[in-house]
Amino acid sequence: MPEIVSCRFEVSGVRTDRDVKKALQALYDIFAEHGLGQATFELTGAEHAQLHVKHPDTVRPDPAIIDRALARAGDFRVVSSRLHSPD
Amino acid sequence: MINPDFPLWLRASHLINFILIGMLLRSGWEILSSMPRLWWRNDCKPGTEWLRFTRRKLPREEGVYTSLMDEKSLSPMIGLPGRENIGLGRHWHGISVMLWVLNGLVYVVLLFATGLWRRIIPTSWSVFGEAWESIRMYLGFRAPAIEHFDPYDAAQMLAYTAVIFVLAPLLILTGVAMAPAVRSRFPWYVKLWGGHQGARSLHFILMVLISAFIVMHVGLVFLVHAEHNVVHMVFGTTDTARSAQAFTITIATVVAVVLFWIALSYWSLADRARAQRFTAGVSEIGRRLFLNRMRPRMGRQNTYTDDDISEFHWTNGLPPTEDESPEWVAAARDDDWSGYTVTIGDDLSGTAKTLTLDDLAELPRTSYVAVHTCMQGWSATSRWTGVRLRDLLGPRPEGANYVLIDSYGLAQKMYDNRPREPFYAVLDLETVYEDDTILAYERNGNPVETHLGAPARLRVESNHGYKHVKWVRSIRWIADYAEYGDGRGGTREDSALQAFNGRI
Repeated sequence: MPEIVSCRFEVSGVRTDRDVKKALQALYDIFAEHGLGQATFELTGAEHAQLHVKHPDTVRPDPAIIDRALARAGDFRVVSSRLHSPD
Repeated sequence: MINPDFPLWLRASHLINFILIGMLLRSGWEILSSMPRLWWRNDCKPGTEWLRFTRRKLPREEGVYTSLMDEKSLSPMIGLPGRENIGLGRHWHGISVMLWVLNGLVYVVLLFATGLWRRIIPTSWSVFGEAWESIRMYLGFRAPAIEHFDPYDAAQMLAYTAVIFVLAPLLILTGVAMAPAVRSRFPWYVKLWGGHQGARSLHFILMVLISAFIVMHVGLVFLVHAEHNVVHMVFGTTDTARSAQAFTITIATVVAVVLFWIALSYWSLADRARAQRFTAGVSEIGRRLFLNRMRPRMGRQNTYTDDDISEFHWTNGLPPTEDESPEWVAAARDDDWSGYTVTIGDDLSGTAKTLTLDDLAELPRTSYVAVHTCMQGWSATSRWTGVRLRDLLGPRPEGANYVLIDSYGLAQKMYDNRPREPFYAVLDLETVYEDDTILAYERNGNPVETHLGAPARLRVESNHGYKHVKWVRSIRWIADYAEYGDGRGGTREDSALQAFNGRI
């Protein structure tokens, strides 16, 4: 079993619990296909929400794919990403 | 003239049943939407489900795709309460069941006490032939003459008998089989229904059958001799001159009940914490009356053996990552978890000691085969080995009323989506002292897998999975769980509004 690591994305437009649920539903529609796992939104009152995505270290998430999935759920966009970099 | 065959108690229980059946169905659909797949095998292996209500494909490997990723969102117009609130849906289901069973018991007792059972329960074999004649007429888009309804025709008698004395009891019996308190105390009973998944699938099929009955029943009320039916139903009389009045009252009542069902959803969603306090509080009556008395005996049962061990075990929550817990990740990279420690503490006095995995292995071992059930609906059978919590904790400090267990991993979600905090669960003293409450460090004779809580995780066999903290960091005596987290007694209670008592 490969090690589980996480990536972080800044997402615009996700502000409420309903936004979070819509965004996660859209992500979970595509996660299995791309080998991605658990996702979590953190809302801190800052301009953009933080999206944490866990995945095996053998997988490299593509921000464009995540961006497209989010856009299908609402006016949500990936603003920036911090992908996991192997040591 | 008042028709004594349709007394007030009968009409009242019919209306109450209508309200409660709607609540049961809608909260049941909420529960089903959190795990929209059905299996006949206990291990819920990907690709083996016999029915699914989701397009999402299950990957075959364990440890990346989590069960929470399978959850679907229902509209509040359909589910109670809707919008991925399985915790509240389960509480509403519990309340509805309690009231529905109570209403049903009153109905059946009065049915026999008044002798009215004779018009529902067939007493002659000729009922089958007569019922077949009625069904043939319905299939030909004709209806039996009014003389056949005295007060019910043969097809109605058979259908009512089947629903009241077969379908409803089976729904109750299969529903009870899904409670972890029942499973851990009477594992043979759950196996009788084909295990947890067999009971769940049968429960679903019975729900479909009773829904089909409701559609036909309501349809026939309004299509076949409606002027008699609605007067009977509303006034208990045979005075068809009042049918227009009865029809108006019936329609107004149906609209009011539907609005009530939907209002329950929006009332719940408007303040979910308030809804949890009310619904979990009321459904706790049932847990206290029945389930809390059941002490688990998975360690002493022989219904499930090593032959029942599952091929596949779902996971929920992925292991801690570097940014969550560098110390756990560092220990995970050791071959033997030599850097791992679990803290045994007492928050009342502030004292604590740390134990390594070797220290845990030196304590008395216990091992048993148990079926794990998640409140979402999946299940898996494993042999778990570890140390009983009571052996690990030692004597209870004065003033300690609960034990709090927390994880090196963070919660998947917080109630208000704030930055995540370490996952935790709180157990009451009775649960802590149960034989089958253990800190497990082996599964199926091997070290616990990383994605299932390595190197040590909690097992609380009398409760659902959300009480079984994985990647355990500390186990501490506390005075009151209201002082921790959001004060509801655990991460899943705080974020998903589960009940503190995870026995159903």
